[in-house]
Order: sequence, then C-alpha cells, then structure tokens
Amino acid sequence: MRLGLVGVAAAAGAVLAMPPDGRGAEHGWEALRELRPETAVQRFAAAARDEPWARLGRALAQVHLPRAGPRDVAAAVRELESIGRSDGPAELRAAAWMALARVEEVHRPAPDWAAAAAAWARAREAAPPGHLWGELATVRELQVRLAAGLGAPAELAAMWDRIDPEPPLERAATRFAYHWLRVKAGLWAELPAERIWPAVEAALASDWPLEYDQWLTAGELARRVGAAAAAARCYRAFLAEYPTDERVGLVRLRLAEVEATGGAAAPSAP
Amino acid sequence: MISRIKASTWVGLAAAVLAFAAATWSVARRAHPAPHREARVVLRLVHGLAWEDKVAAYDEALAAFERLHPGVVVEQFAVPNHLWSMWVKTRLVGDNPPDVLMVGRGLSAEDTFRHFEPLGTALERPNPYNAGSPLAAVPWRETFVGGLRFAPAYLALFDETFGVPTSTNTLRLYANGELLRRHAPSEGVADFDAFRAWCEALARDARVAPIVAAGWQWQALANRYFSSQTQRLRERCDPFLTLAPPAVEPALALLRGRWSWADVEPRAGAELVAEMMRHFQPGFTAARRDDGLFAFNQQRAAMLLTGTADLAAVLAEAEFPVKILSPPLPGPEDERFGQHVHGRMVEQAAAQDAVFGIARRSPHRPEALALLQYLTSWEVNASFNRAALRLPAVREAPVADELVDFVPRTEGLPPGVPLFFDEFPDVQGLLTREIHRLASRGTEPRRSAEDFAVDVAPRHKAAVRSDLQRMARQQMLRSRLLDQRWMGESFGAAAAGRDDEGLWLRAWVRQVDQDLWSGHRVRSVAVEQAAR
Repeated sequence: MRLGLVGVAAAAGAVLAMPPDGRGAEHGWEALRELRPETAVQRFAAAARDEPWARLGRALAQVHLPRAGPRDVAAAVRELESIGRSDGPAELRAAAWMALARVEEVHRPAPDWAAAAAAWARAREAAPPGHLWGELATVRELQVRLAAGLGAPAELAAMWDRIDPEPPLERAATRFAYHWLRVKAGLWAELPAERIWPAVEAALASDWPLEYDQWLTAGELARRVGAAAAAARCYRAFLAEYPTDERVGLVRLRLAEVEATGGAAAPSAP
Repeated sequence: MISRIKASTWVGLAAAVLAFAAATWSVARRAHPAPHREARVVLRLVHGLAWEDKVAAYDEALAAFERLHPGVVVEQFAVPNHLWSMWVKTRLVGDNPPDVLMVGRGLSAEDTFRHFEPLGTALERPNPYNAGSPLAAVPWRETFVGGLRFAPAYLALFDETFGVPTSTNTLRLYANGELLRRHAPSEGVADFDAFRAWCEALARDARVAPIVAAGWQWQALANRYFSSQTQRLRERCDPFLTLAPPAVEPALALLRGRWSWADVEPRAGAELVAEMMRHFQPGFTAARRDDGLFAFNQQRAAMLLTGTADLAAVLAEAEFPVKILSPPLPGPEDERFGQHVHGRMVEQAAAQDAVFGIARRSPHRPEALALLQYLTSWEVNASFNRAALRLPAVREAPVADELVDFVPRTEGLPPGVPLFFDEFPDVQGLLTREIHRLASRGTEPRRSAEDFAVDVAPRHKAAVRSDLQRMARQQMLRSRLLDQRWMGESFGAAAAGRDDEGLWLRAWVRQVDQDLWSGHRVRSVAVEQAAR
C-alpha cells in the first residue's frame, strides 16, 4: 500500500516535472545543463523507457544528485557500461564511456586513474572517425595519465618522455589542450626548458588563441631557450590584451630585456 | 419601511464599495507608480551598500538610464549591510532573485556559478556606452582599473566572469592634520623611516595611538608590508612561470619544501609587519569599523587606517583637517628592509568594490546587461562615483578632487607572497589569532618576529594543508557542475541529432587545465603526499 503511494507520488512528480509536450528526454538535458539534476532524473524517467539516450541521461543525472551515494554511483556505472558495450549508435556508446570516465575521475571518494584512462580509451575507440568526441577523449586520456603521476616528479618526467608528440588531432582546440598539458606537466616535473620548448611550439602552432597566463608561460620558456623573437611576441601579446594587469610593469622589463639581447639570453632551467 | 431600509442599505453598501475601490486604487498607484505601469521592463537592482550618498548617486545614474531607455524602469533597493548575506541567499534559494545584484558578498563560488549569468562574450567587445570616450574601442573587459581577473568578478576555478565593479576602494591612512603639523618632521612622512619616527613621536609626545584600524583593514596593510619583502620569494613559488602566481602556488610550494619560515624573506616580512603593528591600538584585531572611526574623530588616534568608502563619513564628522597618506613602504635603499625589495609595488587591484552581476533567472537579461554597461561606462562611472565620493572602477575616468590621493598606483612590480592568503580561511583564522605576537609592545620587533615564525610555523603549515584539502574538494564539486553544463549541452544536442560543435569547447579546454592543475595537483600535494 505504502509502496503504491510512493509509486503514485513519483509518477505524479515525473509528470509535473515534464513540460507537457512529451519531449521528456530533451527537457532532461535542458535541466541538466541548468544544474537541476533532480528535475533531470524525473524528466529522463518520464521519457520512453527504451530510449537509450534517456537511459544515459538518467544515469548521468543520478550521479549528480546532491545526495548521490556509492549505490547511486555503482548503479550509474552499471548502466553506463551496459550502454557502452551495447550495439547502439557509435555516438551513444562514446558518450556512455565519456560519462563513465568522469564518474571514475570525480565521483569516487578517490579517483580511479586506471579505470578513468581505460574508459577514455574506449570512448576514443567508440567515437565515429573524425568526431570531436574522439579527440576530446584523447586529450582527457592524457590528462588522467598525467594526474596519476603527479605525486612523483621522477615518474612524471619518465611518463612525459613517453607522451606521443604528434597525436591524430584535427581541431585547434584539442591540439592546443593536448600540447598545453604537456607544457605544464613538463614544468611541474621541473624538466629543462629546452625539453619543454617543442611542446610550446606545438601549442603555439595549433591556431588556438592563447589566453592570459599562457602568454607569460610561453614567453618565459621562450626567453629561457633564447628564442627572443618568440618571447617578445608573447610579451607584446600579453601587454596588448591585458594592459591593466598588475604584471604589466614586470612584463615590460622582460620585453626590454629580450629586445636588447636579440636572442642572446642565456638558456637556463625553469 | 422595508423599502426605506433597503434603500439605506444599498446606499451604505455602495459607499463601502466605493471606499474600498478608492483604497485599492490608491494602494495600487503607490505600489506601481505611473512610470512602472507604462514600463515594458521593470529591472530590480539590489545591493547591501546602504550608505545614503551611494544610494542617492545610484538613483541619479539609474534615472538617466531610464531616460535613455524609454519603457525600462529600474528600482533600487538597499538591503542593510548586516542582513545582506541572509537576504541574498533566501532570494536565490527561493528562485526569486532581483535582476541585478551584488556578486560575491555572502555567496560561495558555487552560488555565483549556479545563480549568476556569465558575462561571456559581451566583455570581449567594446562597451557601447563608451562611444565617443577614450575607451571607445577598448574591449569592455579591459576598461576596468586593475583588469577583471579577481574574485568576486572573475572566478578562476570556473574561468568565468560573473560581475563588473562599479567603484574601486584603496587603502589609505587618514591623518589628523593638526597632529601631523605639530609632530611630523619638517621633511614630511612620505618616506618609510620618517613615518616610523613620526609614529614613535606620536606615542611618546602626543600620548595618542598612532594608528587605529577600521575593522579588518589591518590585514590588508599587513599583507602590503609583508609582500614588499617577499617579491623574490614569489619567483620560487611560480612553477608555471606566470610572473605573479595566485596564492595557491606559495601554499603548495610551502608544503613541497620550496620555502619555509626559516627563510630570510618571510622573516624580514614578519619583522616589518611587527614594526608596523606595534603602532596600532590595543585589541585592533577585534575592533569594528565604527570603533576606529569613533577613536579617530575623538582625536584619540593620529591616523585611521581605512578605505575610500569611509571618506564621506570622516569628512562629515572630523572637526580637524584631514590629510590622506599612502602607507609608506621601504624602498630598495632602506637599510634594514631594502635588500629584499625588488622594486616599487603596484597596488593590488583586488580592491574592486560594489561588483554587480545578472541573475541567471532574470527575464530581462539583455536590459540588465545594458544597465551594467551603462554604470561602468567612462562618463557615467566617473559621474556617479564623484557624487558618492568613491573612486571610479573604470580606468582613466576623471576622479573627484577630494579623491586624488586615493588613486591606486598602477605603475610598478607585482607584490610578493602575502601573509594572509585569499580564500584560505584556516590560515586567516590562525594568523588573526596569533598576530598579537608581532604587535607586542616594549619588545624588540626582531625578537617578536622570530618568536612568531618559530611558534606559528608548524601550525601555519597544518592550516595551509587543510585549506588546500578543502580547495581540492571544492574543485571536485565545481568539476561536477561544469560536467553537467557541457554534457547537458553536447549529449543533449547529439540525442536530438543536432551538431553543436564548438559552442562549449572553449570552456571545455579551460576545464581540462583546471581539473588537472587546480584539482588533482592540489589534492596530490595536500592529501596523498601528506599521507606518505
């Protein structure tokens, strides 16, 4: 009896939560991007039961509920794995593996790097050829592998040498994100500037606009390897784009220094 | 008889109905004055700056905005300062926020992310209300004093800008002109040594407290003195070579052993803070803003440490001439403290004041955006800040004559590692409790600085670690919010057979960076390495 009442209440809630046009799943995604996972769960639940995108959406929204516990996470993982292993459309399977990777990374009490990396690899394999999501998965896979090595600089340095310097990435955004991860990982591992510099060049060549601190990181590395023209270009870009920043005075000094040396700045480790 | 009774009843009833209708009409007219009834859009702007001068200055600017936009009416509400946090949270949780409201105060970063509209691409284009001004071609983002790279306007963890400042607040010493004339050396007190000597003379000869602080302002002064000694230390806390890393970097560097309280720079910083804190009134860490103003106006203190916001109140109450001084800092030539000074410091731009944003739920977001652009346009911002005796938030905007001494110094080098890190509550709490060790009177500052460093260092490290652990957890929660945003967008589009490639890609690129370096890296240093 009590269970029946709960069922009726849940159904009523789902009906109330769903705008009256029958497009429950679409409204579920809308609720999710508006950061209302409770509403999203109800709307996905009200959508057709066998609609695979709604199943995926419901699992995803469930782990984002404010009081989601290990059981919710475990149930979502099972559902996402089942969708990922299904013979559904490639995009759907890739999305399921991507969602699963994020669950392993940010919804566990401690991140499971190996599981997250494996899920990103499966997302990359599942994505249709040339699809953006395959490229996102490549970048994220590198990010979780680097995260696993953050605690030990020697391990991170060894891993850094094994990173593919020319991944098959077509888009400027993903090429930049990938190479910028390499640049900062190299700096965190305290590698010599000369070893990191090719990654900076690859990031600069990606056609993705650098922002704020990135101009200074690139400029400082360029100065240290003696690439005065590149350093000056980075400093000038920073001064032009952020003329009110508190570092403007220091950057002007750096610019004057590289302009005066004309490429003769002594290389040094960061 | 019956018909006579009936007639009088009808007359009575009609009179009652007429009276009720008249009362209703009168109340409705009061609740919705004429312009509101005709308005296409009623914007509600709410803040917690219940100072009369500020409210009147906003009123004037808002009336001018209404004249420029027929059909738009702006209602201003000033919530009393002490009620602001409770009020704003209730309105946001109740999903009934005003259209334009203050960002930051009383709200967490998550609250801001959930409830405020990112200003996004509008910031990259020139502010249309700047047409014909010196900033006509400058992107809106770059028209603010100090830029828009600080909380609460900009939240680094989300890499989004949610608000724009309408005023700037700088920290100054308000000096009693009579005491200054009687006791100051003839060459003035702009030089650090002369200033220090004047403070000694005031305590000895005038028998007044040299400095009283209004509220928490002493922390900002302590930061300024401390960071003058740690400019070079900051270079050792800059793994990504950004030339002025945020507070999280010195915190991580401390845990990684890249610096410690045994180093000369933080010792010199503590010594300098000790030198200055000795001149503050007893119990300054617990003093409220009004205590400081009262003591200064009663001539029980020679100087009041506070910001621009108190100028109108001081000028109205003080019965003596008031001089405005910038707290003098030691230069590279200073015998005791000069060796660690890299160069004169810029004034930190974190003093942006009255930062306003737009509620995500507002049905009038385009009009609200126009209002923010109007209030932060070159001419309007200068004009209403002049009326309110505040500093403009817009760069190169003309400043009222009374405020010339408050203009922040924008030339110079970045400050060093601060004593009180932003967004590190445990560190703030510890140092607030322990700072009295630096202020102890009758002892040598050098000794009290050493005591401070020795006694506080282990607890400081523990507080830094616990704050970093909290930050790592917060980053995890913020990552989840960002995931909902981009997965909702991209998976939703794919499910509907739409192609949305690129709409959320810029935010995604930033999130990859933030997840690794602000989340996992901080967790790795503060949790995993601590456990080993």
